[in-house]
Amino acid sequence: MQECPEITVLFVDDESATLNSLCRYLRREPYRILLADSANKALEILAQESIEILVTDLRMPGMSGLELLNHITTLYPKIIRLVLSATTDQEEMQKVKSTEQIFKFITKPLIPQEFKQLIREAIIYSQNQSC
Amino acid sequence: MKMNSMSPETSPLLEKITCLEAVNRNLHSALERIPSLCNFQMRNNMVDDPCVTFLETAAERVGQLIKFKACSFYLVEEESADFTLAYSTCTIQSVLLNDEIDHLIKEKLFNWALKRKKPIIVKAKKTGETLLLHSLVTATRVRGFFIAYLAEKGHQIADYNLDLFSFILFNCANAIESYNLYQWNTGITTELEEQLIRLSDAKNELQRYREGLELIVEERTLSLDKTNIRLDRVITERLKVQNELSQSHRELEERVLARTKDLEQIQGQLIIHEKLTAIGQLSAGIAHEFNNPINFIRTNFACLHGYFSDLLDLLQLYVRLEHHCIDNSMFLRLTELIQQKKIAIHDQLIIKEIPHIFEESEIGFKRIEEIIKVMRNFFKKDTQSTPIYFDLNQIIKEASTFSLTLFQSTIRFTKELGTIPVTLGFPELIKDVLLNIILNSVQAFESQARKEYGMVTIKTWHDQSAIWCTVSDDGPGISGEDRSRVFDPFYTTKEPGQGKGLGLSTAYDVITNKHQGKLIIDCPEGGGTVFTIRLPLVAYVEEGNNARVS
Repeated sequence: MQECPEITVLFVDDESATLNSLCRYLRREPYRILLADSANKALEILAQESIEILVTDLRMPGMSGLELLNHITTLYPKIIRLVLSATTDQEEMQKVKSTEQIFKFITKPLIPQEFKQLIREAIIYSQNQSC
Repeated sequence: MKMNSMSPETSPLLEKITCLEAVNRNLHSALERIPSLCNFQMRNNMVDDPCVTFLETAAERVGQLIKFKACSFYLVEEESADFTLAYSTCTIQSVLLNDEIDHLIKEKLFNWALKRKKPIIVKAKKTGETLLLHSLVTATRVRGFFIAYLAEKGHQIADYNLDLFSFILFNCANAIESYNLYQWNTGITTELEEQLIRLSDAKNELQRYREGLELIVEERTLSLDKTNIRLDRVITERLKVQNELSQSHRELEERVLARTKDLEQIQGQLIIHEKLTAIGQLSAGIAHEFNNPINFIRTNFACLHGYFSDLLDLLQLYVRLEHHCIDNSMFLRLTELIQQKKIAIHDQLIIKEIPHIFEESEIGFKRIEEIIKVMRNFFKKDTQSTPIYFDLNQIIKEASTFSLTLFQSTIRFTKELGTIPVTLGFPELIKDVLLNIILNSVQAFESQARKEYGMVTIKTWHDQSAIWCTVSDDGPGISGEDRSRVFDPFYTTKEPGQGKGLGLSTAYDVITNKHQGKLIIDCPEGGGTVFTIRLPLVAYVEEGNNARVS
């Protein structure tokens, strides 16, 4: 995989342990990682930074992941969106999949190697889109 | 006028006077004779037909007045209305007279004579005899006819004699009629007597019939008695049947009881089913809460795994370094490699990160442990059959901790728990009640898709007779219609498959029936839902070693 320093991935989760573990695990991956512990924080970052990939949780106090995705679809339609949620509620999953165009719905607990691979795929997808 | 100086003119007058005096005498004597001539009396000892006697008498009396050779009386037959010969003075002459009658009828003189009601003197054409005719009539009807041959030709009959003759016949007719009436009367009397006899007979027959009836009645009574006996038997049988019915009624009742028991069991099963549904719902929340810590633990461990192999690589280099310590050039090269590796793996960072990894993992493990502990406490429920003393505040703490663990992302609690005495009851059931109420709030919060946590406030206090507890939330509240049915079994506003709606009805049953308390739902105007629980205060008894005081 080519070095692509311009790629930035933003993780959104209300739980810092989750964010930290992801950041740690993906530290050696060839992209920049940004963290947001709420949807609002994510929107702030998005306003300042150039983001290619976004991975968000769904159930968060304040703005939910679904709402965040909604905003991003409107404001930053080119961002590749992934969901990383602990939900097992099929209805909730279905709702998200039907209302938002997302690259992948990943359920917690993630399988680290697969997750790493998914992010890479998302990046390739993103690069193909922009080319 | 002077008698002695009679002239020839006067002599005819004198003769006339004499004649008139004679007439007068005759008339006088005739008048005197009327009563005897006209008296026709019926004698009781009459052997012959009285009518014939009357006619004989009449013929004799007529003969005293008018001289006749022979006479015949004809009477009208009652039935045929024919004239038949009833009496004749002379048998031989009567035949001739009969012929005369035939002639009279032929010449239509007969009818004329009948209507005249007066003596008629005619000349018989055949015989040249003088016939004396007279009808025999009463005031009302024709009774018969009189016919006679007069004795002397040209014999002048005195007018008064003819009048007397009419009188005799009129009275004779009347006598005959009287006799006929008498006969008729007698006949009727006889008939009446006969009828009387018949009536008497009929009466006797009736009497016999009555006796017969009595017999019949007796027989009937007997047969009725028999029928009664049969009826008695039927009634006995009916009673038997009724008893059998009562028996089957009892059996039915028993079956109803058994069925009720079955139904209660089914209800129990339904409640269990409801519980399982609730658990199913809870486990979705539980899974969510489990998945989050597991997620970062796993990620961290993957990371740790990488770090560890990195360190292992590094360690091998050190080992090689030790082996080739003598060779300087090699030493330098290895040192270089080590340096490179260190840079590659960010060794300083690893050293800094590893404690964090373990720390975070520890937190994750602790959280899992806590969830598991709470769940184990929750589902580890001994079916308690007798009430025990318990502290409501303690139960509230357990329920809220459990709920908080399950619905960490939805709910927060505020507790204002007063100092309350222990009371007697079923603490695990009370915990169920609280959890059901909290679950109701959680579902309300989730239906709102709200951004902030749902707040549940639990307060306790007590007065002299009861312990009070309110569980209020800041959710959307419950509409009036739903509120009135919230405690009804199977009433739910949830989607199908999300619970059978038994939670709050079970809660109601637990509070009102198992604890003789009260469970009230209220939705204040400001919003939210308030459940108020009132548990009657049961004074703590020392000996109760099963008290559960925290």
